[in-house]
Amino acid sequence: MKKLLSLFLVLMLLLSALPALGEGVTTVKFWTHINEAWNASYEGLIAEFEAANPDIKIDYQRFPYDEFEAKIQTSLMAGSAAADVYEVWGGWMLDFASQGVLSETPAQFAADLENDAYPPVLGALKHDGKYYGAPVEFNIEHGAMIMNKKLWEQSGMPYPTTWNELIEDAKKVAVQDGEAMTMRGFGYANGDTLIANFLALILQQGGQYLKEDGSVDFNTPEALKAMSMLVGYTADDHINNFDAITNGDVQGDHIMVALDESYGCIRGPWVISDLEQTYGLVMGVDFDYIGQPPFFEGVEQKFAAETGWSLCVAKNSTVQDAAWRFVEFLNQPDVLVRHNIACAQVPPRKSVAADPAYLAGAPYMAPLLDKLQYSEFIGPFNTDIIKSYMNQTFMALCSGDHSEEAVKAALAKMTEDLAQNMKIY
Amino acid sequence: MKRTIFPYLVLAPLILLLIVFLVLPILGSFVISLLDYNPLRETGNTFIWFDNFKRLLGNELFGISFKNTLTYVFIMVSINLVVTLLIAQLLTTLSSNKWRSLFRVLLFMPCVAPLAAVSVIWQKGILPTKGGLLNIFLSNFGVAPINWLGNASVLMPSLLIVSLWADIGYNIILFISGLQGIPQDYMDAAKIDGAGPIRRFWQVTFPLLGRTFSYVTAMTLISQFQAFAQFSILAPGGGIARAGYVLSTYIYDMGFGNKDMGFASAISLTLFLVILVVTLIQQRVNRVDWGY
Amino acid sequence: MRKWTRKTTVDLVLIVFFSVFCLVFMMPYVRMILDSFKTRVEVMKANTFFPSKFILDNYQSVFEKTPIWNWFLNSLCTSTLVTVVMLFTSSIAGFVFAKYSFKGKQVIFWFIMATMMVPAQTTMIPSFLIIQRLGLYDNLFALVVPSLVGGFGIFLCRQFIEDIPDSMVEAASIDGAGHMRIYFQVILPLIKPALSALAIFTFLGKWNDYLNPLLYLSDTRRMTMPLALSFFTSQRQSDIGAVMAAATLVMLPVTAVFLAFQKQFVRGISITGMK
Repeated sequence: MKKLLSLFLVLMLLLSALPALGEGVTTVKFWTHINEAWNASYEGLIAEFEAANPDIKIDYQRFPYDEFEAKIQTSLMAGSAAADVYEVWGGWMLDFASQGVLSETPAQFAADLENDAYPPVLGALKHDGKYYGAPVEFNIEHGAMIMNKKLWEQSGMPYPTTWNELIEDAKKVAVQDGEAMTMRGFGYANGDTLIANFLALILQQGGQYLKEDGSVDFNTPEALKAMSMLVGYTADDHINNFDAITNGDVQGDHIMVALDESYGCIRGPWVISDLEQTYGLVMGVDFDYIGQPPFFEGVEQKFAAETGWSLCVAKNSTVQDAAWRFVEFLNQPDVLVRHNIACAQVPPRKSVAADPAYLAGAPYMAPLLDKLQYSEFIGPFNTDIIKSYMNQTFMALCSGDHSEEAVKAALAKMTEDLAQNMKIY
Repeated sequence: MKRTIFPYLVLAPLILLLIVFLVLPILGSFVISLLDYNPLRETGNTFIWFDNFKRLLGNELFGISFKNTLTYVFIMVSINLVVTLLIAQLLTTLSSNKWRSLFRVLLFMPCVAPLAAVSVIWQKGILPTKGGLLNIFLSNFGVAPINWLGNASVLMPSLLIVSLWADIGYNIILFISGLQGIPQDYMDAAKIDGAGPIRRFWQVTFPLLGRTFSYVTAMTLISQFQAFAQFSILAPGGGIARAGYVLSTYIYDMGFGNKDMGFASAISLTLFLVILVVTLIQQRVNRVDWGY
Repeated sequence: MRKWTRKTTVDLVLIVFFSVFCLVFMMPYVRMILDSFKTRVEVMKANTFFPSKFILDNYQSVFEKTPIWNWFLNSLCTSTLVTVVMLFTSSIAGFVFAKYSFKGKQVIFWFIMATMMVPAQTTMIPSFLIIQRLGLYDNLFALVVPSLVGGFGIFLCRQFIEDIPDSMVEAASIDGAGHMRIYFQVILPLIKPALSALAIFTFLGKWNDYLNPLLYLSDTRRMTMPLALSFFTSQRQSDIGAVMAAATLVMLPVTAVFLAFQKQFVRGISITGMK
């Protein structure tokens, strides 16, 4: 028994000593979430970076998205064992930036970003006038739609050109069976897009939901109209249900499109690689990625965007210089353009978006690029919280009373709940 | 045995371990619950005394998850006990040892699987509205597809089904062994008195099973109050209308989602207190004469 | 004769009933295994029960994309180590509580019992901070050290050791056996059933632990088996075939051990209920 015990002890000590190998080079620990296309692109760029900087080695690890936030949090509590460079989702960013655990973006780099980056991608990186990290993408959940080409062709209908047409078409084709939808007309409500559409609807009416102090107020006629429209599409028109929010179905919005169970949905371009690589679909043959019409004809297509994935350096990292060198390398326009194309990301930098090489490499981005100018930063808060309350409010209204009074009351309650539960930075 | 220092020598290191990894954390949890605490920051974790506990009062989500936890535990434990006792009774009646152990083994199998895996299988394979095995099965009887996880009134029952599936094996084994421990003489005597099987169960079996019953109830209670994996996977964020929000997931969300660890600690201490009180009540109610 | 027939009928009815019941009960397993052999699209479409063609792509993808052998070894090492030490600490503490009288015995015993009721959520955050201060963060010992003593094990062992007649212990003592010799030579052999039960509970609990590895370990290579699941189940991914393959692989070792030692399992668990 004792022998066995010591054997295990030795074995485990060996295991825990594994990463301590390699001398004379600085090791930078780099953490991202799991996304196959993105991870592959990072790997390629890391090899390039290591070749150009033989004194630096990148120890690259990736984690499931669902656990990544808690993982970052615990690792930052743990001092020296933390990673050096984190890929942080903009929605969580302020929780970290505000607590002094991230290292400030070097002044010159920050100035460069301020000039070149779109406002939403910097929004959550900024706290108390200082920047923490650098954006790798412009996260967008409004503005373009994945359309199932086959289904639309079969129906004999052309792609709709206005929002109202889209809804009317969707109503015609949606099929419900009990609580399951066998055919979705149009997916506009999942964990990411519901809030994006709600806020865009408010902004496109000329309304506003952000107050001076960064808190939100939905007690406005514009919010009332926005929520009523969104609820109506599900509760009255039945073009969609909320499986994409509750995970009641295993499939996300775009996968239902891929499986010919939905005519289309609003999604960011990042799903394109999933459709192509996972399901073997071909753009232009099986599906199209087209611009989403504005909610009202003739308005500026304003929308609110969250800060996307960004790269941050931990304040307690012992290899600050090497870490920032790596981040700056990934952020150079000529590197970023390749990364953004490979990952089907909208560029965070105006210079990359304007680079003809970008559009040549990612022609499907065309419907989005001219909309970026209308973007606004969503607001200085953790977006998981506003999404959670939005989803709950939406589902409650859809499954019950959704008269004007009820919607008004629900919005008032949501505003109050958020005032109580959502920290404003 | 004569007095020696041996017990202290043995217990000292063990108690030290318990102090470091259980007592200190409990005390720590109490201290944290008095703070506005975010472990990320080095300064600014100030004492706000009982404000976190005050926030519990009238907090809607806490109310919902508190109620859901009690409902879940109460229903889960009741159904669990009834179902497992029934199955155990039926299996004991079965005279073939071979069949009995086969069924017992099959029913126990989910218990050795990680709950996280169990939850994922149910989420992806059994409960989906479209293509889920449960709805396919029900459609044979003309039942329209049910949205097991996306309908506020069905979510909790779905969670109960998953938890039951994952957990009944233990109690079945415990009850079978309890039932087999009841001396046959008692049964025969009752039979001679003309008692039918149901009366025999209530008048002989059940009272004599008291000790096993009490143990099973206590263990099930304590473990169900802490159920976490199935809720966090099948009802993230509490699920639709927060119908699947329980204290364990609410604590996790407040601590790691909202990074409000002081508040999370206050909730977790409340959960501890609830478990303590309920277990004490159960021990009182189930107090039985040991042995026969 | 009539009684014999009735009994057979009852048996037959019960066997048929439980066969059907168990068939339904096993469905999640069947589904998991069958889905793990389907193509991604077929799993998603979810309109077949049996795979139209058995493929191993999902398993291949688990082995390629995750260091699952490392995780298996990590799980095995930590679970075994905890189990071995836990058996020792529980039995020796149980011995002391059952056979010695000493000052503070009752208080200490009930103190240890009370620790059983503390929900993991209560101690989660402070435990993490303690682990970190002890320098155990991202070290496999973080999964081991806090679980070396447990109230349940001590309680179980004490119950069993109390049943051993004092005279046996005293006889050994008179023969000149020291405390440890009595423990090893008299006590341990007599409480084997309790120890095997405890070993099962401890090993299973440790093997299936999900939350602690998640919090205490950061290096992916150091994680344990159950985390394999989350590598394929994130919100933003949808590789259900691989999820099912991962789930099958996670369950396989413990299920195999259980099936091999089912008699010991059942007896061990039964024993805990009788005390």
